[in-house]
Amino acid sequence: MTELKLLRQAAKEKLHEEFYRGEGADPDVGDCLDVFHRDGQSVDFGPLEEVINECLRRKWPRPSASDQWLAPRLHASLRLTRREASDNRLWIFLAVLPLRKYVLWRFPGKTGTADVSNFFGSKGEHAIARLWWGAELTRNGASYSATEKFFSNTDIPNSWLHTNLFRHRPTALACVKFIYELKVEGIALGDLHRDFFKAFNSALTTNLIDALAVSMPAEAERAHDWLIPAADLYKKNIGGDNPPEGPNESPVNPADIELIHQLLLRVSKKTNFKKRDKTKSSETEDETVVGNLR
Amino acid sequence: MSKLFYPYKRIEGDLVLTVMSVDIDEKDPAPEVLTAEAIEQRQITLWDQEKTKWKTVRLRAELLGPTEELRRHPAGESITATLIIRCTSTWERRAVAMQKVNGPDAKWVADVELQRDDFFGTTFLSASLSGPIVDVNGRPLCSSEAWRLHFDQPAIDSKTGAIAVKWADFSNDDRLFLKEYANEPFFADFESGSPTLYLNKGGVFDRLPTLLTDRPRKGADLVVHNAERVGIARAVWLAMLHASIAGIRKSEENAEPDWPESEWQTRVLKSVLPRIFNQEPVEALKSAYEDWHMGGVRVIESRGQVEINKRIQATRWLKGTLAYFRDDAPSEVI
Amino acid sequence: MIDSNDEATGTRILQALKQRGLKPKDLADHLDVEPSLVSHWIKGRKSSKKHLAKISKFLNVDAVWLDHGKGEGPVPDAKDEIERYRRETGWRTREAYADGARDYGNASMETFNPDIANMVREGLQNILDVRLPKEDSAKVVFRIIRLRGADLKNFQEALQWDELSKHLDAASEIKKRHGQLLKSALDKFNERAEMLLLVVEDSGTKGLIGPEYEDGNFLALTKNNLDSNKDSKSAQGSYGLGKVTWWRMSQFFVVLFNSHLSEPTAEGQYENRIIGRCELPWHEDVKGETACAGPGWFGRLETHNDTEVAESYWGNATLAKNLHLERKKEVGPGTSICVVGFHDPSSDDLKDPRDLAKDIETAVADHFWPVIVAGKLKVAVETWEGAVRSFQADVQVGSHKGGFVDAYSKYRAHDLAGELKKDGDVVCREISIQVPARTAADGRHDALEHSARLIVRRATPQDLADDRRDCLAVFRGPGMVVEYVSLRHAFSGAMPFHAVLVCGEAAAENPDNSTNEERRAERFLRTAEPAAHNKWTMTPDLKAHYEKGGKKSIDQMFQDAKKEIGELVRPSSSDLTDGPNALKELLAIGEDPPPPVDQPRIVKSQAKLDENGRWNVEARVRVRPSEDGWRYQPVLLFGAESGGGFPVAWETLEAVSGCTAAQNNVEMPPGEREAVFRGITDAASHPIQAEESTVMIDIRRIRAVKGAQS
Repeated sequence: MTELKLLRQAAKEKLHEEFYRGEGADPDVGDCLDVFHRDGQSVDFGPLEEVINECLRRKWPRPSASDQWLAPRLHASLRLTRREASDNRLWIFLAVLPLRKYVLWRFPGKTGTADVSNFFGSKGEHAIARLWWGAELTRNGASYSATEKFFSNTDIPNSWLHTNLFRHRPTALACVKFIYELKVEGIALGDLHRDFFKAFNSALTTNLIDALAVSMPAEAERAHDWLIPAADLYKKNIGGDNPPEGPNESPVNPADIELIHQLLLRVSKKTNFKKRDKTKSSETEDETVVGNLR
Repeated sequence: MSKLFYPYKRIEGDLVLTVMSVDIDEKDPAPEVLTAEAIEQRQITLWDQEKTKWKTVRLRAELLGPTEELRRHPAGESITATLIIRCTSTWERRAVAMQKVNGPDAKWVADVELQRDDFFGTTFLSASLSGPIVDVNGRPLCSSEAWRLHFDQPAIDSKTGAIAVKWADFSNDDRLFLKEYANEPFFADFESGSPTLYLNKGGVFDRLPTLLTDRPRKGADLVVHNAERVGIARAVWLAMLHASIAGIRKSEENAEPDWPESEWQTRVLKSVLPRIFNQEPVEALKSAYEDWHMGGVRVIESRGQVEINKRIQATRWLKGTLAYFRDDAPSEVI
Repeated sequence: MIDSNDEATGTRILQALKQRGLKPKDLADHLDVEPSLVSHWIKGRKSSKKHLAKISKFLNVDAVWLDHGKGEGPVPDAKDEIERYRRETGWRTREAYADGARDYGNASMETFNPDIANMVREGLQNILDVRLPKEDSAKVVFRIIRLRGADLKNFQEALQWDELSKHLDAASEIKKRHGQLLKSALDKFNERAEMLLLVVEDSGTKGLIGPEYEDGNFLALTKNNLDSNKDSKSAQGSYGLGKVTWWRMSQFFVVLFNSHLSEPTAEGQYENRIIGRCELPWHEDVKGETACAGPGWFGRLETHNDTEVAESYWGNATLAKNLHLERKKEVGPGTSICVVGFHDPSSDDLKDPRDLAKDIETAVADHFWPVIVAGKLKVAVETWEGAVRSFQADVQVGSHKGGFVDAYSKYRAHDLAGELKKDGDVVCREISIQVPARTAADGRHDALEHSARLIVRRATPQDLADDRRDCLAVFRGPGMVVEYVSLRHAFSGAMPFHAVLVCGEAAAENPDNSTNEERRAERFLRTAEPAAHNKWTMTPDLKAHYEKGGKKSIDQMFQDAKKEIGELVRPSSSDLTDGPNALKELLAIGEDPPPPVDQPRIVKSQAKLDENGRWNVEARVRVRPSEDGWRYQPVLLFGAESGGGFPVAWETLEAVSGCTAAQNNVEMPPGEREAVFRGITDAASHPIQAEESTVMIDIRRIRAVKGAQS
């Protein structure tokens, strides 16, 4: 059994450049480890390691192209409550120790040295946490289909994951659907996206999404079984080519998503999309226009 | 910074949200949670419940609006009330529609049930009124002050106004990370749950309690005591300031920087930055962000020291110490 | 034989006749009986029973009242009473001293800092001193009445303002302090044509008992300066100075009284005893013929010892009503005091009645919570617009002085803890005072030891904002806090607390049955109170009436109390369950407002959306004038739900006043304190159409511009 642990921010002081270049053995950060217990028991993260290994085995056009495949599977294999997942030390542990290889592969850095924030940063920057939280915010009951779309282009999580509005599930789902389809002739996705993001963010100062679509889990008792995975979890649910199944919760009322979708449409009509000099390329690594990903 | 301007008419009157009842794990009504003090401060403490293993908390909330103004407002009857629950740690954002109570008053109620598994730290509970303006539904018209639900110990103690301060034997503590600092007299932890200053009472520091605990002191005892506590406080303040500045957020390159997501960091910045930069809070936040990213933290390092010294009244304690050496007479308890 | 009921009925018939301004003969004529019969009725020699119905009809009173004294008595005829008081009352001033000495204002009026807190302290304390022993509690209502228009005119007529104002005008010409105060008050009054009255109505008290010209409460309060006529040994106002505060709170130095007496005078009068007094500086009357010493009285015009005087005017309920001094039957004995032209002399601002009421409420709670908690005093505040009440509240000490009230209430209920373990725990300890021997003839006694009670309560988070936290409140028998001793920062790292030291008769196990020691300690401490009753210290009386060592015992008591508090509020040093408060207090983050910034800031702004979807804004910027000018960039930001908002561009930006505007910058010249600029946004730069977002105005890149402007 591979036991989930916590690693403190203080470990940062013990890491040198070699660590971020992928050189040397596992760092000696044992002093900074804390235990992770659920109901007095330790938790096995073996299924997650299997998923990561599979991800690293597969061939991808670029490492970033793996997000779409990995995010749902990572979420389905690392089964946590939000309360547990809000502890940053858990993510630091995963990135610095067992999954370091993945982090260095996914975010090699421009000069071959990975960025500290991918190991120690906030939920949106952290190499592992971003996938888990992205999936948690965009899953619709047991379905990860919006999660796949959300991670189809890194611009999307980079802009939206940390926003307040994305924490409102009907809005998150409507946004994914909408952005995925968003297309304005002659504007690169990065720019298009930034303009729309600004406009929507501003528009929410005069549109109360909480009132347009209420957001409350229907079941009083959450699917607690979800936290205790079956022994053959990896084989049954995750290893295959089809996206896994998420927690057995009711999906969001489609009417609610539709109401927010109407708002997104209205905002896009009123958005000031700026034509920019096309010779200046977007700074993001993905130049692809969203439509091509379909 | 001016007030906010809306492109339509808002409701100006008071909107008052009150938590009427709190039940923990259904069967146990918990009146002791809803004390007069809790109601006045709009804070509900859930973390020190004797039953540490509780799972569910149920709340009933009541909302009172300005009846007359609502009657006259163009959106009138179509105005609805929404109860909003937000947790900055677990990114929960939930909303329920509140039920209008029949009667002459503008009054709504709602019941919510929250699973402990979904929340961490402090969660905010507030209510908003919204309604149609021209053809658009859901325009926010008015919001209440927020209630704080403390699922865990709040970062800043409401009585002392400070982060938690605890004694521990660093080399023999369950909190393994303290071992690493076994050779340090203290360690400020901003990571695991709420920020805590740990004081080492183990090993070579077994006499630290003698130096720091609260008891009457005079003469050399007092002088050394003050020097040590000022030294510790200065180091912790600087660490808090740095951690808080690192928490400043920016949603997008051209956007304005925003206060940290963590409440205690925001409070540290709001209390210190305006004095460091001699600016209004929002302006000072921007200056701090620029200084941090472009200026190599120069201003914060130098002026921050001065401000922190003022904050902990370092000069006052130092004067007391110097007076001791001057008179060589044991001074009264300060 | 005289039937006692017939006699009482006779008295009531006479009373009703007087009230109507009728003579017994009028009644005899009306009933067509012999006048001698009516005379017999009145004296109770013959029964009037058979005629009662007719008599009651004629006198317009209830027959049952005539017979048994129950029900409605004669309602005074207002018109008649007005006519009477106009005829019989007026103002009289004391003629100047024969030796030509000029008193430019009552010297004792300068003894106190005149403010509302002192007025309440002195006023209530005097009221408590005349509390009736049988009554459970005294009740006091502070009523602030605003008079305008007809209400003001009626009041002025009743007070014979025309006559009074001759003296006021003359006195205001005196170029001395009081004269000048009076002048500015009259100017303000003439300009605003409005006046505030403060009516303080007490009940459950003795009232202004005593004859007109001999010692008694009446003479003490209304006539003599520096006369304290208090018979209770524990009376707080030992100096007689308290009463002058009332005059000091009057812009015109005029105070009126109306009293219902608890014991009738020798002449049998007890209702509606009205007298007024003004405290003016020496002045000459308008014609410059007569010099007036200063003080003057309003009342029944009489001649006493060949001098024209104004003395108590009795029994005219209509005058009481018109002077806003009406005392309802159910209120019982006590006194109403009316401060004419009430103001707060410590403040230059014209305060609103509601604010004044709030100040009074705060002062009452601050100093009188012990006696209120003990149930011996009830206080209410009211505001009135003329005859209409606009606000009423009972003073709730718990909401003002929660920590102390909780401590004292728990002490009284014996709800005490052994140690201060939890917030809100209350403990009690004994502190002894060495009372020195009393050498004065009255009440001589040996030295003795008195046990005072020290009550300490551990504060709760709710008490954080209480500015009297970490203070020791001390009081004795009357239940007025004599002093708050601040012990903030006295004990390094202490837990926050409230402490109370209960002394003298207040410390008695049974407050109504105090021991000799307690009564003697009470007297000793009262003697140690200086005129202002605001501390215990060495006083001339203490020196004269007690053996040496009084001051030292008091100091020792405070030291012992402080030491004991220190023991209680310091957590034991072996307790390492929680970190030291000595560190926590240095780490307190606090929520103090940011300091005032020297830089320009927006003080007022408005924004409107125009038909072209642009925001039109105007902002007023203020800065402390300096030798430097200022340059800054006004910015309009579109709000954002996450993050800090998005700045947009200006289509036009122009100066309105106090500045120049060019290229998105606004510049204020040196010495300028206020600038207004106006701007219209460039719609093309909005992230979204303006009707979908909030906006804010801000100024950025603020730079001082050195030197003079061209």
